[in-house]
Amino acid sequence: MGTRVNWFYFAAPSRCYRLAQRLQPWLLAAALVLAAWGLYWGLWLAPTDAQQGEVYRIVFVHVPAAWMSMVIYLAMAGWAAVGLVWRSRLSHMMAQALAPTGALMTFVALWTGALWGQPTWGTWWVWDARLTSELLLLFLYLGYMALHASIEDVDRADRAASLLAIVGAINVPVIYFSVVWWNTLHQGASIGPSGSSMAEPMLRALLVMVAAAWCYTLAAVLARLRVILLKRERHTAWATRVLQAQETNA
Amino acid sequence: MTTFEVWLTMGGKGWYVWGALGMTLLALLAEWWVLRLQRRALLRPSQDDTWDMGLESS
Repeated sequence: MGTRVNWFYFAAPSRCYRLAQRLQPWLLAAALVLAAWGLYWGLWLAPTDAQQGEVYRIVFVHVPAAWMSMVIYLAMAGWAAVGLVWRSRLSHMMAQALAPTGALMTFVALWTGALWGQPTWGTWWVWDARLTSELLLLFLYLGYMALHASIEDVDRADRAASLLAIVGAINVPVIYFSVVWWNTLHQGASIGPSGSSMAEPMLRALLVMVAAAWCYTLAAVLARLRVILLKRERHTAWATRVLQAQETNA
Repeated sequence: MTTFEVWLTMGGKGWYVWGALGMTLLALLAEWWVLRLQRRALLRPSQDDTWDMGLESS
């Protein structure tokens, strides 16, 4: 008989807070190390692209940000659905913690894409299916945050914002498959289940940067989750103790 | 031009490449700065309604 894992152990806010507190510095440190390593490979060691020249190096930031923008949204919608179905407060808090980092990643993807588009396509922006659906993703994140902040009752805010998050999830496959379904100026995927069309040194740097983006996202989300947990659980004994300890250290 | 200078100018596209990286760094730093403000705001219970923006009232 194997050891039975109690997956609900960390569903208690106080335990979740302690877990986030322990993991956050390690994840942030890992993100910094991986980003330094990935940027060194990507900006210095990776060769110049035969078609795009040096400007292609923007992809080492643009692609991880764009992938994270979609992954974070799916995670946010997933937690929102769990929160709605099982009425779990912690799930709603997770969704709430994910939204600002998702919006930031979407903004970075759009902005770095514009900086890549100008020298490559000759324009900062086109109303192309990929770009437009990514912009819609940014509005969905902003809408989720605005809706949550506009309703005073936290439970009602959780439910309303969760519905928006779940409905908006339909946009994620649209973003991903937009370059397949429609004729777009944006290039198709360079990395897929069947392999990659990128040169090996470029791919290696990109994958390291993707790992850095994952670690950064987890660190930022856990940091925000700790703030949300303390704010919402302020009335409880454990949160009061944590706040008092923080006040003493401040 | 030295190898370093060639690298720094990124074949004449330095503004785009360094601009993208610099802006990303600024955005990430801003996220942690806002988180820090929100953490600090928690220590002041009376300023509850300014929490969402991470702002401190006077």
